[in-house]
Parts: sequence; C-alpha cells; structure tokens
Amino acid sequence: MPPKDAERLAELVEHAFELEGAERAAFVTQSCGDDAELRAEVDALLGEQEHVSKLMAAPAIEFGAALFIGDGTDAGELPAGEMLSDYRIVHLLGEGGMGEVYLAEDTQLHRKVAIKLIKSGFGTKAFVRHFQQEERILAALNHPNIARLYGGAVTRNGLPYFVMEYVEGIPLADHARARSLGMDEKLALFRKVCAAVSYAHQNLVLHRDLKPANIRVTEEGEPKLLDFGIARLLDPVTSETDNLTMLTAGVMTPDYASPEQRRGDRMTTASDTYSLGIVLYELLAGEKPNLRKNGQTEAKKFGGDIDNIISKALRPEPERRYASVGQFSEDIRRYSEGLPVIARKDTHGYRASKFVRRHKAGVAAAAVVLLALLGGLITTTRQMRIARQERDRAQIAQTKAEQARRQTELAKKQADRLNHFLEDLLSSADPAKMGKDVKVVQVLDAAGKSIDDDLAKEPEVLAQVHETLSRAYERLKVIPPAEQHARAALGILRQLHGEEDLATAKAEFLLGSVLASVYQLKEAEPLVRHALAVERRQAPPDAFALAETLRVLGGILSRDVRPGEAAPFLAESLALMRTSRGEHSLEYVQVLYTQAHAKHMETEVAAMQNRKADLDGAIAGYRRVIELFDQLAPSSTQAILARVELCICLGREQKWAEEEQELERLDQECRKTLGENNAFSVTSRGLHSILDFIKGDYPRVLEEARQPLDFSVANMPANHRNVVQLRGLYGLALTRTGRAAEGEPFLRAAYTEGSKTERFPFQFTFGNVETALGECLFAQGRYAECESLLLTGYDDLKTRLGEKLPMTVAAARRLRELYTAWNKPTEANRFAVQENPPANSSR
Amino acid sequence: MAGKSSEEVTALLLNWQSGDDEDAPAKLMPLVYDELRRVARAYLQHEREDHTLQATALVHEAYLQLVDDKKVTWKDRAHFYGIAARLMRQILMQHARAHQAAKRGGPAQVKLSLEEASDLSTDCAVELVALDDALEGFTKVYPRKSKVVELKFFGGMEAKQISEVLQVSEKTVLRDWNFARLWLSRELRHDAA
Repeated sequence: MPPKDAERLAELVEHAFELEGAERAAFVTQSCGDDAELRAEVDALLGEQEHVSKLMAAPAIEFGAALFIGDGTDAGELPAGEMLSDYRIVHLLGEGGMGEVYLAEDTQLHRKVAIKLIKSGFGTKAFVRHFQQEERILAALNHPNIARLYGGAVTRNGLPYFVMEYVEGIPLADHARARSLGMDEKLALFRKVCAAVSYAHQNLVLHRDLKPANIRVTEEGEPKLLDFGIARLLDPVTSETDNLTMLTAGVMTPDYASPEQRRGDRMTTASDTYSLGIVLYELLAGEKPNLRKNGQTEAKKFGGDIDNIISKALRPEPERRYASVGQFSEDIRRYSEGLPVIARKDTHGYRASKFVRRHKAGVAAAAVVLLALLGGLITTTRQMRIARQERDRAQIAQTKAEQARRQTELAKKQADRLNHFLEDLLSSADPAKMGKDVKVVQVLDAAGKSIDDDLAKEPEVLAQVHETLSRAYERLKVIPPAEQHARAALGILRQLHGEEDLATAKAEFLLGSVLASVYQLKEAEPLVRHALAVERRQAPPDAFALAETLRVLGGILSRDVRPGEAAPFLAESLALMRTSRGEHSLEYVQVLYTQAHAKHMETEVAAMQNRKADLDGAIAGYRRVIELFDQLAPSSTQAILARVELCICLGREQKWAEEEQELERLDQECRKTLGENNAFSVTSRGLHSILDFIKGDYPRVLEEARQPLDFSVANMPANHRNVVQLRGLYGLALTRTGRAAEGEPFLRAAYTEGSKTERFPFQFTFGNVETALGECLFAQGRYAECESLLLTGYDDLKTRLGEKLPMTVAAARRLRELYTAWNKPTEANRFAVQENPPANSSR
Repeated sequence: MAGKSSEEVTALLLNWQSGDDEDAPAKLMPLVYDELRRVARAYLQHEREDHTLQATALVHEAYLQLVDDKKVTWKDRAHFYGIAARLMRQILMQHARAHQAAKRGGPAQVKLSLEEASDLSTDCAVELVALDDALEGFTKVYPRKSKVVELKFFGGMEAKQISEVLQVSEKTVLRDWNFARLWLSRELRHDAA
C-alpha cells in the first residue's frame, strides 16, 4: 500500500477507535465515502478490537520470562507428590555437590526410580545439547552391576535432571563392615565392580567419579555402580573431546581422583583404574590410603602381592598402571589363586595390544598403515625368496651366485629396515611417550621424524616408506605431512630413476592426489597428467592403475570447474574400472561419485554464466552413489564425502528440510567413523551453522561456526568460497546479536577476499557479502559507509538471482531500514515499494 | 551505585547528545546489552516463583548501573531507554528463536521429554516469534508506530516516557499503540488461520 494510503487508514482507524456505536459508524461512512476498499480495511481493523485485549497486555519481558529461566539456582527441595514429567517425587534421598537425589515413582511403568536434580547452574540449552550427545551411549550401558540411566529432561524451571535405576542397597564400605567380609569375599566383590567398569570402558564410557559411595551393594550381595558417565554429562567443556578423555576434573571427588585428574589433565581408562585402586585399598583397610605428595601410596600394608597390585593401580603415571581394568581384575584373580601376578614386573609386552585396545577410533587407520607396511615387507620378502632360488639354480655360475647373494642381502636389509620401522611405529605408539591420547597421526609423526636418517643409505626403501606414510596421512585427511612425504618420495625416485619411470609416475600420482584434495589444482594437474602419460606407455597396460589416474585427473578438472574436460576422462575411467574391478567394487563407485561431482560443477558453470541450472541431476547422482557406498563400505570416508556434497546441493536448492535430515545422518556417520575433529565433521558443522543461521539461531551460530571457520581459514585459501561464506556468516551472526563491531573484521575479510573470488556457487553471490558488511556498518550507525555497499549488493543480488528471491528482498529491506533511520523517506520509499507490491499489502 | 562501565556509558551518552560522537549508539549497544542480560538473569533467578519481571525496573537498574544520573539530562535518559528497548527486543527474540530452533532439532526421544517439560516457554517462544515477524511487517508501513510498540512492549516504558523519547505527544503515543495492536492482531490471526 502506498504510504499515503497507509497514513490515511491509520488516521481513520485511530479516530474511529475513540468513538463508539452509531457515532463511529457515521464517522466511518462519512470518511470513506465511495472507497469500498478503504472501508473494508477500516472495518476489519476496528473489528479486531474484540481480539486485542490480551495482545501485548504485559511487557514482553514478563511474557517471555520463561525463556530466560534455565541458568538455575536453588529452587528449594521438591515436595512429595510433585510431578516431573511422568515421575512422582516420593522423598529426598540425599544431597550432593551437584544437586539432589530423589526417590520417585514412574507413574507409567510403575517402578521406583532415582531422580538426580542438577542445581549447579548451567543453561538448559547447553545441557540439552550435551545430553543428547551422551544419552544414547549411556542409556546403552546394560550391565547387571551398573545402575541404568533411563533418560533425562529439564524441569519447568529449566533445571536438568536424570532418571536412573533406583538401587536398594547400602554403600560398599558399610556392606563390608555389616557382613564382616573376609579378604577373599572382599576381593570377589571388588572383581565384580571391576567387571562392570571394564564393560563400560569397552563401550567407551569412563565413570570419572568412582568412590565407595557410588558403589552400592544390594541385599543379595550384588554390587551396583551408580552415576556412570554422569560426571562427563555435567562437564560441557568435554563435549568436543574424545569419549575416553576428559579435560577437567569437574565435579570429581578429590579423595579418589587420580593425579592427572586433579591436575585437570586428560582422563582415560587409567584414571578409573586409579580410583578403583583407592576403593580397593579402602575396602581392605577400612580407611583411605595415606598418599604421598606424588600420589604414590605408602608401601607395604597388607603384605605380599596385594601391595604390589594396589601400588601398580595407584602409580602416579597413568601409563605405568594396569593397561586396563580387566588386567587389574585378572591380577587380583591370580593373587587369590596364588599365581604369580604381573604387578611385579614392569612389562613391555602389552604395548601393541594396549595401543590397539585403547585407541579404537584410530585403529582402523593404524591398521591401514600396518597393512601397507606389511605389504611392503611381503614384497621384499618375495624378492628375497626369488633371489635365493636364483642362487640355488645358478650354484655353478660363480658370478651369478655372487650377484644373487648381494641381491639377497639387499632384500634382507630392506626387510629388516621395514621390520624395524614397523616395530618402532608400534613402540612409539606407547602412550607413555606421548601422553594418553595418542592418535595415529602422532604415531605417524613420531615414526616419520627419524626415517630420513635411518634409511639414508637405502633410498629405495626410504621412498617406499615416505609413500606409505603419505598415503596413511592422506587417508586420515591430514594433508600437510601427506604432501611433505609424497614430495620426499617423488624427489628420491626422480633422482634414482628419472622422470619417465613408472615408480616416479606413481609418486607423481600420489602427490597429485594429495594436492588435489586441498584444491592445489594448478600444481596437481600437470603431475597427474604426466603420470597418466607414463602409465599409458606401459605394455601391457595396468587397467586398474590407469582407471585410478583417470579418475583423479577427472576429479581435478571437475574441482577446477571444468566439468566438460573432465567428462571424457571419467567415462574412460569408468569403463576400465568396470573391466578391472567390476561394478560392485568401491573403486567403480568412486568413479561414479566423481561423475556426480562433475554434474554438480556443471551447475556452477551455468551459475557463473548467469544461466539458471538445476541440481537435480547431481543430487540424484550423489544419492545413488551414497546408496552404493552404504552397501559396499558403510560409513567410509567416501560415503561421508558424498553426503557432504549432497548436503551442499540440497542447501543450494534451498531444500532445507531435506538438508537437515541428511546433515543429521552425516553427523552420525562422521562421529562414528572419524571422531570429532576432521575436515568432514567440520564441514558438516559449517553446513549446520548455515542452517542455524537461516533459522535465525544466531547464538548457536556463534557457538558452532567458530571451529569450522578456524579450520577452514587454516586449511583453505582465504578466497575459497567456504572461507568467505563462513566468515560472512560468523560476522553477520555477531552483528545480529548486537556485536557489530566485533563482527566487522570477519565481514571485512570476507569482503576483501570475496572480491578476489571469481566463482561463487549458484545462489550465493558477492552481493550477499556486500549486503552483510553493509548491515554490520548500519548496525554501528555508519550510514554513509554502508549505503554504497547495500546498493551494490542489492544490485548484484537483483541481477544474479532476480528481484523476488528472499535474499534480494532482504537486501531491499536493509536499504529501507537505512534510509528510514537516516531520515531519507524518499529513498526509503523507493525500496518499500519494491519490497511490498501494493497487491499484497492491502490485506 | 554506578558500575564500572558507568563512566564510559555516561560519556558516550553525553557525546552522542552533543553530536561529538556519531558512533555512540553502536558503542553503547554492547555495554548496555551485557548489563541488561546480567540484570535480567539476576532478576529471573530471584523472582522465579511467579515468573514475572518488571521490565521497567530492570531497565532502570541497568540504567543505574551504567549511567551517572547526576551528569546527564532527561534527554540522555530517553536515549538510553530507547536503546534499552531495542536491546530487550533483541535479547528476548534471540532467546525465543533459539528456543524454537532447539525444539526442532535433536533426537526424537529427548525432544519428547523436553516438550513435556517446557510447554510454557515453547508457547511464549512461538508467540513472540510470530509477533516479532508481524512487527517487522508493521515497521515497513508504520515506522514510528512500531517504535512505540518497541518502547512499550519490549522496553516496558510508559506513554509519558515514550513521548519524551519520540518527541511526540502522549496522546499520539496512545493512538499509535491502539492502532498497532489492532493491526498486529489482525496480522497474527490472519497468519494463524
């Protein structure tokens, strides 16, 4: 509606509103005259009078008070009969540092439950998110000696609570005293506790707060562990860290806390072992151990091996304790049966298996490294055998025998080298040397450090090891060292064999793939093209190797947004892969994936040329590929990558609901396969942030987008569209939460780098960045500065996306706001009209 | 009992008033924002029993914390209240939208139990978001009237104070308010239908 009419409407309604009955009717009739439309508007608004009594009757803050609640403090004890969801409070069982524990009745399932109400104030939202991450894991702990966690929720006042199995029992120490248990009985009881803790560890859950009070014994003499994993639930800081580690001591009871826990270092299964050691001591002695400053116990208390066992569990250095709670328990069994215990000797034999057991998440990757190394070892061994056969056959020919002997020696040397390397790899995985959360990456780092010196005299082997390490890093998506090792291998092989050798070509291919994975396409392309040329010259050609090289080259061209050039290479690759590996192979699906990606890129080309293009083909392609990956290699990184691309496509097509669904799946897969910090989960979180932003959840964007942003800034070119987009997103979220000044640097960087970017994906143009920076300056009252940005941004959006798209409309709104605030009504109206065509506004 | 940012805020208000610092509103925003949040939270924690909160009292407390009352005129105070209202709106809407967004995500099981637990806040989040959206539309056609809504509904201000801030008569403020309620009511019911 034109502003003039709007003003007139308001005047009439305001005046009429103050009149009543016939007087009002007469006034309206007279004022509207023949204007039936105006009359209808006036009547409709006056008709609202009967509905408005409650609208905004109280100030918003009173109305919205419930939204603020959740940073709770003490609200007093819950009275009996009070309902929390389906649970009726019976009475208070006890109070602790974190809150209160109530006995309650589940009115649905008619059973007693214990409800732990948390009063150590932290926000509902943070808790809910944290809880959602953990709940599934904890609720899945199903062991006769562990009290079940049934669920958790938030009270109307915003206090979180847990619903747990109610255990009718008495604390461990009381039980031992009441029944006057003997040594053997105490040890048997303790071993049941160990079994429960061990079970939880196998399910990647630490207790973190083991103490006699958390161990109850039932009438039947069965121990039950309470509060498993609750400590972690209450420590939002740890949500980003590994399942088996914890950064802060948090709510832990200090008497039973391990030294690392008291220091606030990372916690592991060994921390629970320590706490169990104290529990055992107290169970046997009836009092807590007298700990020295370093956490070590006074030696000799009970006599014999049990002292050794306890002091091994209580070693200040986590790596010198038992490798697992299971081993601790086993040693107690051996003691009970009079067998020698391992607590006596400080054995090294467990290192490899310990490493594997403790670092499940990384084990898949470690296995890859080991397999590759073993593969190399097998090859050299085979060479050695061939050489030996040669020697046997040519026993008479002295020179030939000599030659064969030398060959054998070399092969043996290589085998030895690899063997040693393998051993070192495992022993450097010893957590003792690197702190408790050794990742495979750290193992590789440690292993890679010395190879240049160790293998200087065997360049062939050195190159091989470099390649192996490079591939291992690449699989882990840790690109800088992958690149470094590939370069080293290539350098050595070029020197040894020259440019045109097949081994050199393979190293070129490796380096090319690594570089391509971080978009260093300009350097990657000639490397892979040359490798392809060398491979094509081989007779007979290695169809599989060729197909792989063709696929990687196609991928490079596709990523370089030259999908047209990629197509023939990919078609050839697909055909070769079909013959060499078959259609039901991962490698074949990989080619299909690259083809889908090329299709995806076709739409980018279209967008660059301002042509409209739809992504349906690419989306269908990705969906098919994901389906095949899921069949062939569920949760593989390839499947995850395809999911990431699918989510991007869905986002571009503004299919938010579908994207959200896919993102959730992607999240699960990422966490399952790769753990928390990797390029994929970071990308997925970045995509999440975009969704959150669209939903207007700016605080969450600020919380979640920072990490993907930092990661992208560190790992991608500054003018990469992801970096530009995330910077813009973050800066705008700051702006919209009243922190425009803080947001400005992010938006400036996005603007400066964005202006160097030629290729913006479909639906995301530089106009977005300009408009965002404009909004930020506007929020700071810098009207003159923001005007030109908002104008050019709006023009760009209008030209590229059209006038009616939400982003363009929003940009027009910003301009209107600017001119309104600036007191330039004429300009403001220019954009008001565009945004609000008269046809829509008159309702 | 002016707080530690008091001097800064007071100076900013004075500079703004005298025209020395055009960026004053932007610089004031974060300071006032933090203080408002803090005060709001403190209030809510102590007044949880009946879930109410006096918006005026809240803004006034923030004001006392941040501004040295002796040095500023009523006009500065009016500006402060204007900023506070805008911020109250932002804070509240942030909570409401975040609340709504949180409702939409997450595993079904937990979601269910949370829904039961916090109907109250969900209802008002939904209403507030709808109202805020409607107000956006209203602002396009009636910028001043919508300012009245912001000051009164989000800032908890009385007609007299609003008339000072906007420099219009009290009668105009009341008329604007009445009209806005009719308009918004129609918009909201229209959307709901």
